[in-house]
Amino acid sequence: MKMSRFRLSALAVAAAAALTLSACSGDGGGTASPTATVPSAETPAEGGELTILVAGAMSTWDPGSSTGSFPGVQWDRLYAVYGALLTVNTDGVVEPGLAESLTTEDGGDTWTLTLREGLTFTDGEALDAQAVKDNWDRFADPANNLGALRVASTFATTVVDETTLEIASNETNPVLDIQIADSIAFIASPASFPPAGTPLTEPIGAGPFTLEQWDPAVGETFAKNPDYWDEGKPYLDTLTFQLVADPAQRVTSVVQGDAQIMNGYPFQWIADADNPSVGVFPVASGGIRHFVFNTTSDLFSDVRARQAVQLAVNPTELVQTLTQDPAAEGSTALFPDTSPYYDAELALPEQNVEDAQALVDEITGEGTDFTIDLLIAGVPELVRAGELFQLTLQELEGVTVNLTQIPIPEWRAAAYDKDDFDVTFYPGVFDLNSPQVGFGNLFGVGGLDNFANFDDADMTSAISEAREATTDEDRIAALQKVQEVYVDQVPIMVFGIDYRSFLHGADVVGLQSMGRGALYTDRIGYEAE
Amino acid sequence: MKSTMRAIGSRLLYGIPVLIIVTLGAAALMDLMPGSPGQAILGDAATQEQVDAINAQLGYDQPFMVRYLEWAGNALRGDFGTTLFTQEPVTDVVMRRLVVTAQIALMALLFALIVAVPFAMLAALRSGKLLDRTLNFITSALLSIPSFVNVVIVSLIFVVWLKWFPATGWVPPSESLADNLRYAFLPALALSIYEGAFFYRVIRSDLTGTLREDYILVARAKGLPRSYILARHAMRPSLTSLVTVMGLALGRLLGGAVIVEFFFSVPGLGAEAVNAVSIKDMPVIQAIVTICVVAYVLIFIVVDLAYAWIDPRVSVR
Repeated sequence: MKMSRFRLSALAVAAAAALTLSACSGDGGGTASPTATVPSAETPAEGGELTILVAGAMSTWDPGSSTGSFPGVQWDRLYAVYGALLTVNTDGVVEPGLAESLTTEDGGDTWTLTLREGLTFTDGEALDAQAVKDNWDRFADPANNLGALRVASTFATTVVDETTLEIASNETNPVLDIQIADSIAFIASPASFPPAGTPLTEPIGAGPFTLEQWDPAVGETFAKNPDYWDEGKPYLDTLTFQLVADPAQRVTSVVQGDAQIMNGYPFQWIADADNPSVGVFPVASGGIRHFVFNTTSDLFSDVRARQAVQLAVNPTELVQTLTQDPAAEGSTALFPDTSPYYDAELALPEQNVEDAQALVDEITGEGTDFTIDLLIAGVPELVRAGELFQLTLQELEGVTVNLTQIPIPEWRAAAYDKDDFDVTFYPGVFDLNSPQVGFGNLFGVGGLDNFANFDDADMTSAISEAREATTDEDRIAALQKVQEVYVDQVPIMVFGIDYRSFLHGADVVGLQSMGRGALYTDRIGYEAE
Repeated sequence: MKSTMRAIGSRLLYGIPVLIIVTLGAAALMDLMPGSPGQAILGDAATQEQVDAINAQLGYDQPFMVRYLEWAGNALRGDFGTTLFTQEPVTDVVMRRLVVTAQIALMALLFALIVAVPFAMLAALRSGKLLDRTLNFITSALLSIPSFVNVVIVSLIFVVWLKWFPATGWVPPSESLADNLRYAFLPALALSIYEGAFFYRVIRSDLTGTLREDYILVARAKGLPRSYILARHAMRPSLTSLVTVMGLALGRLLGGAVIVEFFFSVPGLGAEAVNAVSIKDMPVIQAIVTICVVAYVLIFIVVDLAYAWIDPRVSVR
């Protein structure tokens, strides 16, 4: 019962988000004008100290090191110290921040970034167009080896005046605003740049907080930046991110009141769902749970092998095992049924073990070894899912599954940089609040989340059409093509739709999240008495 | 006094080869680990040229022995280099962690002794009786419970059910001694369970043997109270084994409290070691290994000296 109520509320929020998305998507995604922030349920009182529990340590404060606005990794903490030029909200709409706007008049060939007047870094230097250019030029320099290179190298910039930067895209890019907001939104004081190859350890930004203490084995403490551009914010005097590696201990700490916020999924705190001392804040934009085939591996470069695995797996069993929620239902479509892009026909075929075995026999009959190297990030829910996958596939004659667990901080390097797998489970949900950008990352050549190494001309063309679409009809048609290629080529297998959530103290208010779930830490605080 | 100093000096000399072998091993292990400091800093997507440049900048392009000797020379001066990511002096980081771990280890030893000694005395006095058999059964069970189960049980009872202690975190004593003890209590308790059961068995066994000695029978024949005999005549000769296992336990707790520190998010040496290994912070790993070896050598010098104090017949050479 508890779980059902969670799911209902999450679905309700998702439905609202989908409707909003539908309503907002007509502008073509090419303009980010000052948009009203979704109002917080309650304006927090000023002051107070708040602790957010996270699982992973910060190894660098480089503004070019972020990998997207996910909660619990670097983004929240980088946002605390740098703020953001722009952010993408859960509706996929770009919101202003340090920048008032980022607009294009020609469909994405050139863009104009307009900064707020009088911005300063906490070292007193001006955060002006030149500072933004210096940061982006540094990101684009391969010598610095930053993740931001991928977006920052796609355009050139010219300083027009103190608050205006002209951006000339190398190729027409109607979604550059979303890419900037989700990848290179953090700007550091150029005076704090370290030499190439040296970690940035003393961050100086213009964000809501300043870094007071940093201990990689403990966490970070931030103090309020009294000169933050958004008057009245942040509400908190002190913000702490504390490392607690064990998820159950994180839940206990929030329930006991020793910490105030943690991110996760509702199945992690089922036992405390009705506890009056805590509340749950679901991130409105849901995402897909999926596993990935390495389409360049010897075995899975053959689409029949991918189809065989897909046919052998029962998505409902998989999602129920992962979430430990017996009411959870599997889904193999790329969108939830509340989305305007959802099409019931564009889901993968249902489980059919006989057909799966026939495909395996066909492949092994050609002399190919059907041994699957399954790579799992070592968190309990993924291990459960991985073990079920292993058991299920090994039911098929001729199939062997070797399961390898690695610590979650090492997963991305192993899966993305080294391609050290045949199949791997994506940890968490993959958010599609901006599908025209999200699919570029997931399926596009060189995409930041293209763990499958998928390289398909039809998919590339469909993604381009989705990005360049200026009407709802065009975007829906293009995203339909994306889904058709997905069903035809099976580079990944979606097995469920899920929603990130935050467990928080009952007296914490002002929680608002960005598109992929990271919190606007400047808007959080305690309930006014 | 002179002989004691000579004994300390000779033991320190014995410790040198151990230190050299272990630190050489640690340095070699780092070479055997996949990746390099440059790779760790720049990530797996970096080009080989970029990685080589950082390795050269940090001196990791030098031959193994050259690097080791340079490291050893610096380490002798207390300089273990800087951490790869935070660029802090490794000595500062490791000493900060060592203080935390040492506090928890000493508290765990204290808890273990407080429980083990009285129960061992009771059991020795009633050797073979129901109480003795019951305590033997309980301690056998406690010794067989691994630490990753201990931490969960302790947390369940004291955090979830009783709500007496915080689940995770740490407050340094300089900020608040009361809060520091609140946060340190559960990790120390979890660590003390195994040690307490182990101490109990050692003390009980030694005491049982001592209580059968002739001089104890004489004391009993003289009509001295049993508690007096136990405290004044039996306890001291039974302490030698306890001191040895306490030394071993302290060394083990300093270097091996990884699971407990991880579970309770205590920023000790174990948590730092895990963090350093996961991000391949090699200077930190080397420093922790060295500190642990030095700690073991020092602990056993103290243990040897304690033997002579407990039993004056034992001479320290």
